[in-house]
Amino acid sequence: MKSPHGAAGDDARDPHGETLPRLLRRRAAEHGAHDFLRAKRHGVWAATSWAAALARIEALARAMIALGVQPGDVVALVGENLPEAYLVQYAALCAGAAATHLYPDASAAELGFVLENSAAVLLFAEDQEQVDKVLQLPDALAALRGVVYLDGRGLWDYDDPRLQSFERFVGGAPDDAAARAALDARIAAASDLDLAALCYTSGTTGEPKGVRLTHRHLLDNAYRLVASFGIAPHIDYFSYISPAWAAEQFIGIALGVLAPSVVHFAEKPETVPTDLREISPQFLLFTPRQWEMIASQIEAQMLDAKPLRQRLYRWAINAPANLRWLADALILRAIRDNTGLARAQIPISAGSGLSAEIFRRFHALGIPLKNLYGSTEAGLVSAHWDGDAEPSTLGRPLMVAPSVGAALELRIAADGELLVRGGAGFAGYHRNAAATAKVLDAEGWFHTGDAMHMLQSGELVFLDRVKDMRRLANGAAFPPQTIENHLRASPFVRDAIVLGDETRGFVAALINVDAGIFGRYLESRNVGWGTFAELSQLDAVLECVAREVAKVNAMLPAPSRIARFATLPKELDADDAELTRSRKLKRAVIDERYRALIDSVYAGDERCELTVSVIYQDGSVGTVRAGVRILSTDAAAVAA
Amino acid sequence: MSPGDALGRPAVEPAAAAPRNAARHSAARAAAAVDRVLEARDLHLSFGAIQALVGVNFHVAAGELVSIIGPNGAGKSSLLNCLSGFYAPSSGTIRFDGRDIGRASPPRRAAMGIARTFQGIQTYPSMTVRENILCGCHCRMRTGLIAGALWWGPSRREMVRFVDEAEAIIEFLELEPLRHTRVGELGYGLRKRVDLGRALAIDPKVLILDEPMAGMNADEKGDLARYILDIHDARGVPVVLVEHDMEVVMDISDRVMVLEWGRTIADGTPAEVRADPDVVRAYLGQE
Repeated sequence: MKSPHGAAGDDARDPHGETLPRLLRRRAAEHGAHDFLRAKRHGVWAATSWAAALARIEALARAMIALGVQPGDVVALVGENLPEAYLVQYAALCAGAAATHLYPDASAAELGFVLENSAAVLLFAEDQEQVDKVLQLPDALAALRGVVYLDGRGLWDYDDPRLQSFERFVGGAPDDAAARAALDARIAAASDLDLAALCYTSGTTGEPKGVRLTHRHLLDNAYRLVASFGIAPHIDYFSYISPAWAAEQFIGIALGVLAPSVVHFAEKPETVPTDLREISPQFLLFTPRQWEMIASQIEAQMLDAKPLRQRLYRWAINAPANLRWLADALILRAIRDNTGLARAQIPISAGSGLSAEIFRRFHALGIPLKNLYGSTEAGLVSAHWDGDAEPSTLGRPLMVAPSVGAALELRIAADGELLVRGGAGFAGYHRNAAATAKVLDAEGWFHTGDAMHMLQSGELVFLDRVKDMRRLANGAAFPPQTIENHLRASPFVRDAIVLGDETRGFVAALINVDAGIFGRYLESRNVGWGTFAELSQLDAVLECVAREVAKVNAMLPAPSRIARFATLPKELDADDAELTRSRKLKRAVIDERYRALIDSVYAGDERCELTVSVIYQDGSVGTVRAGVRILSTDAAAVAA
Repeated sequence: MSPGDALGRPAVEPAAAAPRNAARHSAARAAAAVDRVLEARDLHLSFGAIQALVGVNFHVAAGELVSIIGPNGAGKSSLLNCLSGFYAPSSGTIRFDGRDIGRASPPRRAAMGIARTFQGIQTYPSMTVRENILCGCHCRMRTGLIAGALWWGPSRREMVRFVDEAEAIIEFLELEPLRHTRVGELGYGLRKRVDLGRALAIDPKVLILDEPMAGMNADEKGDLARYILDIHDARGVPVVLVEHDMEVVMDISDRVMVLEWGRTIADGTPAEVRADPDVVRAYLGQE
């Protein structure tokens, strides 16, 4: 059991018990004329200064108070990332209320659930599409004091009295001394332990749960980034992920005020690539899927390029270190500029795992991509904020705000689960104490549900969700899919099957080597071969695979390491029913067809005479007979 | 709100627009009696021995969406060409905003606010979406060639204003991702949308659309119908639509006029026209 500690940050921007509205007012006083929000209107980037933003936020807050929004209430928002979504949340906080955002593609039922569960009193809906959803929900509608829409298009003949436009709502805000005093009183009376946002977890199992995020929690998490990454004031941030996701609450809403940052909004989801290029943000967070899309967009553009340019590009991303400057000047800088990542100081990938290959490709392009790990409940836990960004790790624990509490403490439980405590901590699920008790123990440890391994360097490596771990005969848990993914990330490995269950004493792997890559590898070493079966058993091949396995083992805790492996004498093939047509492993078929080999692996044999039938593309059936060698790794001795 | 504000959104208040659906037909009819924006009386047009229009009466009232339907050769395009000034009728009057415009040239009528789109594609393929839409503003420009070439004060201010208007149209028609794309690279449905945008750029008082949906697939038709309704509802612009797709016509029109062999055979609400025996005969044939 390990319990490494994070540290307290030393950045001066510690929130010191302030709430977001009080900080907001302070920032507006400090940076009044400086840009806060930037959005594209009528094809031109237009900025809202801190002073103008605060004026609008306070007008919105007074309008909310006039409508009867009370401290402790919840204001809901549904729509895309728009400057108004930020303003509304800040205004709700000023009025003493909290905000909950929904993804624009939320169904009417999901919207109904969130409105009911959060007991929202006011809904801001982006457009007709969102308004239509709430109009289908008579119960939810009855509980709302109003529905405010931002884009009136198509709503011309809607006559529900609770509907009103954003402009009319703000325009109707009282502006007298009493209204201003009431707002001042609310801002002064608020505590940083008040609820600031409710983020609903995706709810893959059962109904979504609303995670309570307090002002302290939001600001502590923003501080973790400020202090760990050393974020400079007025950094250009691109707001793209939805504020329904806790990450945007930390990185957008809270960091925007704490750093402060200049928050940019895309004109439309479809214009993101163009907008990104025009903004060229310094700080941005995308999910792995979005990074993959940017990577494939670059590849697609290079495919359209002239042959000479294509060759220059290939050379540039593989350029030796002493020629990096030349590759950078000729090619890479232009590509970074084209994708809008020329100034990206802190480009972050978070949400799930990004393949090592894509991660490395961005680094080869000179884009310092960083992994960030966190959960809605525990907040931001670790990131690549110091030292090298190793694609397979999630970096080291972040530094928390000293005024908030103890530094982050991490612990890996016996079953591999990561437990976290420290910082602002987890404030619990909204109106669901039973669910809170399941993940937050008496000692204050939050159980993440993620199985992790901690390297000697102190970096975290994600193994799997705890529920997807498999167990060995000795009870030790290991992450089969993660090990397979790590193996597959090697260019030499086309596919891998990880063996081991309650009847087996150690983890083993069957590896389908990549004939194309090894073909070139062997050619350069003047090694000849005939069939795939021969190639797979060559010394040079097995040595190379052994090195790849050792690399993967280095990423894993001892009980999960591959103790023995063999390379398959034929390629896994969908025609033989070993794979699905989308190249997913069919484990039961593989277990059956390679039974003899698997038994040999676990019997400790060094060789297995294997006979496997194959179906050729013309439908004829043949057999492959081959002697397969079985190798042991350093982990075998430990397992024994 | 100043135009330079990042938060300025087009705010269209419901009160500003005409009512729709059930209430719409009666309201439009009430308006029709008082406010005929464009009106043609007793139009006759012949090409040699062929009588294209025989005593056709037509009008569109403020806030009204009128469709003209009829078999091929019924005289629909001839009527539109008379309205927009491409054909001079042999007799009859055409009045716009109460004025007789029978002798006004097509460019003159466009400058008055009669906007029209044509069958097929009439956009400039080598120009971008925004440039095409800006072309629609041309007839409204007040500064001349020399001022434009010198790019001085008024000319420059005028350009900035028109670009802003073009951008508002781009936003309205949801063309933002394509504003700098050359129209020649776009598909048919999008080009028709640009064509519509250019017609909007003349700030029309009446919008005439000649078979805007010909050659479109169902999705594109649905999109365009949505935009036509939005123009009509949000901007209150009366629309004259010639269209073959009966489903669309019956769905979005306030009033439908049916032509056959140059004569009006029916004029009423979609429901009335659908039930009219002459229309049924013209469309389905007679036993």
